[in-house]
Amino acid sequence: MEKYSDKNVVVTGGSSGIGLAIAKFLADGGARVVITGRSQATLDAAREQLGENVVAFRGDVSSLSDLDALAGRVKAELGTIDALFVNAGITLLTPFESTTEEVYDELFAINVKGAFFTVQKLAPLLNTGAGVVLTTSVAGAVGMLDTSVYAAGKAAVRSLARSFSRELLPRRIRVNAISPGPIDTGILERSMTKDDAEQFKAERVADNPMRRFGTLDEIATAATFLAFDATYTAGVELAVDGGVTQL
Amino acid sequence: MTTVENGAEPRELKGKRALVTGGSRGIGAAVVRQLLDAGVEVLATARSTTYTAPEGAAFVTADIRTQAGTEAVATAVQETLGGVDILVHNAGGARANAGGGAMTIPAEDWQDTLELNLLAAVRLNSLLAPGMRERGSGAIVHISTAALLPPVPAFAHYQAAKAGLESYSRALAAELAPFGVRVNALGPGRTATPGGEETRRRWASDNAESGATATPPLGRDGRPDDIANAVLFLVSDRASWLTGTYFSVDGGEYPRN
Repeated sequence: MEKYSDKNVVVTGGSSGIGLAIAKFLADGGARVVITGRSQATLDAAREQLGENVVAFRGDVSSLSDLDALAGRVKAELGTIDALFVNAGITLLTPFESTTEEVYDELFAINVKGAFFTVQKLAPLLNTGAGVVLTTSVAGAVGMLDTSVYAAGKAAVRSLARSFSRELLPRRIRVNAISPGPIDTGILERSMTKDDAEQFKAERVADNPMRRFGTLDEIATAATFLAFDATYTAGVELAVDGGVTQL
Repeated sequence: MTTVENGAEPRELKGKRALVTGGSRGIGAAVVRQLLDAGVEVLATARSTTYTAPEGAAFVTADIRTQAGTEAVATAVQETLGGVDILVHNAGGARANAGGGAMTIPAEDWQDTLELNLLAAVRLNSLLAPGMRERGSGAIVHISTAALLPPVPAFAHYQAAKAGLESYSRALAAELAPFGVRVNALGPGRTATPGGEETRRRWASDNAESGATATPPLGRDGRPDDIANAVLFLVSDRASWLTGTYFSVDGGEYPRN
């Protein structure tokens, strides 16, 4: 029997990046996984990669009707949940002087409101002793140019991990957060010139105590530890970042 | 229960070599057992000769509050293991200054507490971490306490020593990170161990309103295996992108940043 073969898992934003890595790690370990995402094409590709134990649900976490539909689908597919990864989120740069109300609202709608209502809607399905893991960011812990709105939203999600713990600990449900540091996902090469991307990456490596980027697998193993093995930990944020926000 | 009782993946640490201080009972013994289950070669050390390590581990009696004691442990490491990949600094504790506060803690209790909770780790790391740095890998875990921030005058020496340990842990993490050696701290809350129960009972009888007998938010006391689960994670490759962290294993009782 594989380690997660009797486990039911939901990963929002599970069709790409960190969410996909978490879904893959647990599906490979035998878990039954429901992933969510907004793009059908991306979901289809993830579903193809992840195999039979994975169900893909198309929906937007900022839409409460989508979340109601997700809860219905999860109940039908899994019944109950052992681990919930509240991972769906977007990153948009918000230069201080030019950021619009629309961008501000979009960031908070998906990253904060989405996280709150994902947990509210799925909480009734969580088993006693289940683990909930919220994805935050190193941005929430430090001040950086052009990221104020995203960072504030992630700091709000870090706070939710504490309050949700108080709400759910009577059911022995542990809520924690994971704060991923720099990961080389290839996105930089798509959003800036090759030289700029190289320079940006070299700076990130030089800044990092471990002198390298992290990998998606390293985020997935830490998130999975929080969900299943951190049996006496609640309300914490674990920095998985090579020490960059810790040292 | 939906939680996994033992955090170790089968054989994920097979062939590694570990030293666990305070490894004869309580949290240390649980760490030793889980390391053994994961295929690690373990040397445990403790002060007392009346306790033995869990079966399967090598054991050396030593008083690591002294330079001579830490040197004896380092020698035993070389003789039995040939070096270490994993260092778990678990030995610790202090006597409360019963009926008194921070100002009347005896000087010898201050010294003793700093030696056991801080300087023992400093000395052992100075002897054993260079080998990790040379090999370009290794994991060190400092067992601190979750109960660091709410001030407890009668435990001022203990809280100061553990605060020192956490600060030192971060400095060592920064120094060793470029070499692939990871250093993290872990804070247990109230944990059902012989040492912990005794301290709490004494503390509760002296301080009726201390909350020392209340229930943590998770609804139960911690178990040694809860702490060991987290130690096994921190020393394994599952935590290969973590260094310089502090991790609470306290049932949600003591908020930190």
